[in-house]
Amino acid sequence: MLHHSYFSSKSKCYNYSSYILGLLSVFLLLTFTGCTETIDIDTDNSKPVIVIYGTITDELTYQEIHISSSTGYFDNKANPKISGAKVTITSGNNVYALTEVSNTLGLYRTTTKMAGIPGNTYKLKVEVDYNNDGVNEEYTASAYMESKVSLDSINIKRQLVSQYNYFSVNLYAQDSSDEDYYMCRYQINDSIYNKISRYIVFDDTSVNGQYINGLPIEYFPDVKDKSKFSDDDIKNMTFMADNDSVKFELSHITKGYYRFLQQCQFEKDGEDPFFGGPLSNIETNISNGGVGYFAAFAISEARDVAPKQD
Amino acid sequence: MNNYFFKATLLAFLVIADSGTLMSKNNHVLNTETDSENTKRKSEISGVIKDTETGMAISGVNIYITELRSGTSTNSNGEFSVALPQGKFTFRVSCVGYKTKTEQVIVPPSSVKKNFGLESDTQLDEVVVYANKKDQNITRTEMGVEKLSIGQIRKMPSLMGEVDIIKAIQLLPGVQATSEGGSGYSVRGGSADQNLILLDNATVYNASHMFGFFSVFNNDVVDNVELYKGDLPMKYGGRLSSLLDVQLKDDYTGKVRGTGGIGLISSRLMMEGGLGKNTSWMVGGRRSYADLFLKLSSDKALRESSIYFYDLNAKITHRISSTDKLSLNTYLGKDNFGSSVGQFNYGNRVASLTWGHGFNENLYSNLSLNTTNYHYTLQSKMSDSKVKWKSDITDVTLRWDLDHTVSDILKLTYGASSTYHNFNPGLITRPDYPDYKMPLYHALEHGVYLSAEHNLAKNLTVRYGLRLSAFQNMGSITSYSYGVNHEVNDSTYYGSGKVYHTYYALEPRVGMVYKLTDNSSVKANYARNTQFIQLANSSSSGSPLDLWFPCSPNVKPQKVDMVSTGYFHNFNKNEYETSVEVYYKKMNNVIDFADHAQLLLNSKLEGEIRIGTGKAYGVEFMVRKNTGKLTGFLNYTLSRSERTIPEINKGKTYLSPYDKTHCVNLSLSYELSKKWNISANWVYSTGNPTTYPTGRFEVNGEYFPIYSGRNEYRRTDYHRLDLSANYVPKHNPKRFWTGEWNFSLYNAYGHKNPWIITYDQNTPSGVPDANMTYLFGAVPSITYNFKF
Repeated sequence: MLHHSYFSSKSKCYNYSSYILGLLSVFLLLTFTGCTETIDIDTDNSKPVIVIYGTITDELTYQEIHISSSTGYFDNKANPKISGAKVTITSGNNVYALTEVSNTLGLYRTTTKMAGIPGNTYKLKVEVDYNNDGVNEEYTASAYMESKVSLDSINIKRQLVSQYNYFSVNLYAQDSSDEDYYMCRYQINDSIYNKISRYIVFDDTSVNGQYINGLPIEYFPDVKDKSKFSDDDIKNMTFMADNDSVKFELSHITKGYYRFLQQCQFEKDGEDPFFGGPLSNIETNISNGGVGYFAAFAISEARDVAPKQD
Repeated sequence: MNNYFFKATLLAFLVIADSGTLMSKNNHVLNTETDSENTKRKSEISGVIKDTETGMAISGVNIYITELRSGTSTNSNGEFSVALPQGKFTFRVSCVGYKTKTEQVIVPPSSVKKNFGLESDTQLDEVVVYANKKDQNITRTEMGVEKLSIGQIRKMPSLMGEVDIIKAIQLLPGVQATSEGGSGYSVRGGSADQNLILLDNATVYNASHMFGFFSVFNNDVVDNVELYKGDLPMKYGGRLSSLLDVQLKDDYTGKVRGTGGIGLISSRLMMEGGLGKNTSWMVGGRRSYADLFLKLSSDKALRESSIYFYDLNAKITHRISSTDKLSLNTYLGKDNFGSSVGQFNYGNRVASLTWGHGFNENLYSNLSLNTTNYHYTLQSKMSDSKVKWKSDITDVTLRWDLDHTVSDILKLTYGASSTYHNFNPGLITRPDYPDYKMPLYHALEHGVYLSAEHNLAKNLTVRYGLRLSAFQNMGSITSYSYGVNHEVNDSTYYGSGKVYHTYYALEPRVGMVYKLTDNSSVKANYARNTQFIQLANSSSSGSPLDLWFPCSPNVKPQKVDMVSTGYFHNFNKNEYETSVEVYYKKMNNVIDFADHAQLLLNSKLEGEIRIGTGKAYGVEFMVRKNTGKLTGFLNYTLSRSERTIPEINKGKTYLSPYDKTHCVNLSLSYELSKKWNISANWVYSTGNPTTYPTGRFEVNGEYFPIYSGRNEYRRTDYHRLDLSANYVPKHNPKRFWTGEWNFSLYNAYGHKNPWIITYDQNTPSGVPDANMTYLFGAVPSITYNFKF
């Protein structure tokens, strides 16, 4: 059976490399029908560390930071949230305090609405006694907001690949001559796809400094083809249907956040025998031994409707 | 520095110019007894040893003269030469795969030619894999050498009907597969790119088909295989761990004949013959056809797919005169994976032209021009984005090697080689967009060497030598320099052909064999190797996306110093061979890649490299039974291989991905009757070091892994049993061919050896599960092999 691997959600980065790497996984799986079974792995649980994740956007809203704790990889319990931390975000002379949301442990929101501004740098500070030794530890991070993308449109087209129906997402925008990194998130009808594994991340190597003239950045399989894929594959895929109303949010992101997102997507599922290097810890910009990321980006929106089949 | 290099070269050539008397090329020099015997006039006995059935000359035949308790062996042309005083001597002529011949030879006052014919032993199916000849393991000075003839390899159980040379060498002590199904291998703790693979003198960069499941060597065209585990012969350099020297058949000038096989996955055919008395030719091919079955599929996508590999070998040899031989060898191979979506292919193109010339009986030279190319291409057929990515590496080498027998007790080998390397790390073309072209690397690699094999005393032979290597980076290229954080801080452009950097390396090697008794010896050696080009492929499984890159002002050559010593003892007139070998390797400038290194399409790849040191050591035990109905061997290796690199694993020493503490190989063959022969292999090794997640953090409803260190865990132990039976039916005289059936079962008890471990969070509980993917259950196969 032809697996979904061509458009696997395990895409690492959307430049030529991953495009071609995606191709390669198809052939691999055509050749071999390996068998998979669940096994037990015994690992010593590493010491817990604090996990801080939050993003600032240019939308006027209550910006959010999540604070939790890491656990052993195979732990049965959910990762515990961290309560009672003192959280502030500073930008130039502006200081924004964040307070924990009642009924939602570990979620801290700015007390007033704020909008990030491209070109500004935001500094996050979290103070909490994480290791219960009576003294607060301090964790900081700094996020620079890149310029807004000059986005013209995002266009959805139908594409038939062998007997599979796909919707291709094509970008029309102007790339700058700098090293640019992009993140694109999508919402199909009312479903927001906020998991990092569903983000589309890519760099501008193939289009640097040029007008991006309909570059395909993602392919969504048609929901009518759902039965052609295995149950395992379906869990990781996003399907699209005729007339779906799709909203895209495209942003320039910093190289550090790009690497964080790429590495998350890459490390999440484990080994890759062909392109996988040794598994390594995901980079972070949180200081003092924390993990996670603090990022800032401006959002450019585009909408389109998935075309019906002719 | 330039001056020094050229002076050394000049010196080497002066030695060559001062050539000696008339003697033919020898591997060993006959030891003489005492000074008084030295003064007696000696006669030269020389000749060729051939296979009585095929008429082909046999290399590496052991000739032992009982009265003198020493011997010699034939060179690659099957020629030998000994100097003996007048009298009667007993020649015992033996070789793997042949019946030993003992003959009385009367040595006259003058030189005389004496040829021998050896009868093949393989029809009796007695011989199974064993590495060294009868007592060559006792007498040969090189340590860590294993030799296999194709007859031996064919008897082994096969994977999918293909008996594979590289799978056969993985059964030898100190040699391990890098991963399940992979054709890459690790020798004494080294990485897969540290093995030099030669096909009749030309380098092969990627010796695997189908992502490593088969090797590129078609058994029908191979004559024999020698594996040197570290102590490489002086004439080769540039790799730290091993040399696999695959030699093709040649010199058959008889009527056209051939062999072939029809199997479930692929078929092969080899034909050879002569054109007149002095020219021989050989052509062989192999193709897989699993994709033909896909065309029968009801799934349209599968019908439009193609998966195949093929090999094509052709060789022609011409004896211009009694002292000159010219041979041209070519190989072409390719793997192709195609579907409606796109296509991926990769392959090798190799050619070598060699002129062998005997100046006189003592001095023989081989002048050879070789070229090799390994390439891969991926292209998308999607209508809105036809991307094509191509990468390749090309070498052109000119080498001159001389064998010089100076006296009874001293034999020299010396020569020089120069290789031009051209690396293309990636060229991407796409309609409507400009080409994305990775800069090409150009380099020159040179070597000049001198090695001596010296019989110091009756029981003591030493080998010593020196190799001087150089590596030059050439433009046109933009060379970057990197600052403290491995970020580029400067760049310089060099024009086409400009040499902008040179490395030199001195590689001494010294070894000795001390014969304690007729049946036992002690060996020791030391060698220093340098490697100038390496693979940017940090995955331990075989991937065809090989990216070779050279050393440069930013990347120093990797070096290894290794010592080994061993004790060899044969029992019962060489019926049993036993040995113990201990080795220790210290490596410098070991390369590994930074966390999350981007290896492909990275013009600043050198910024991803991290350098440190490495250590590997181990002990190898081997017992072999060579004769009788039951033959085979058992070996056990205890070893360790580790690395220490400041910026990896926080500077803590970590296990190399090739570390396998225990390794056991058992290979047996039993002759049930004249028609049936059965054999079995059992392999066991400790699981590869691996990195498992010890923690997880959650973002937006998904878990991401946290690792405590690199390679701190191990996969489950690897073991499997292969069985095989060979049936030779009675020959039907009406048929012009003879055939035999081979039935084999790979992984007979279906042990699930992990290939990759992945994690799945989409579980009902939400807690991640670890999943193991394994490639093979039990795989049966049937092959019909024929000869005509």
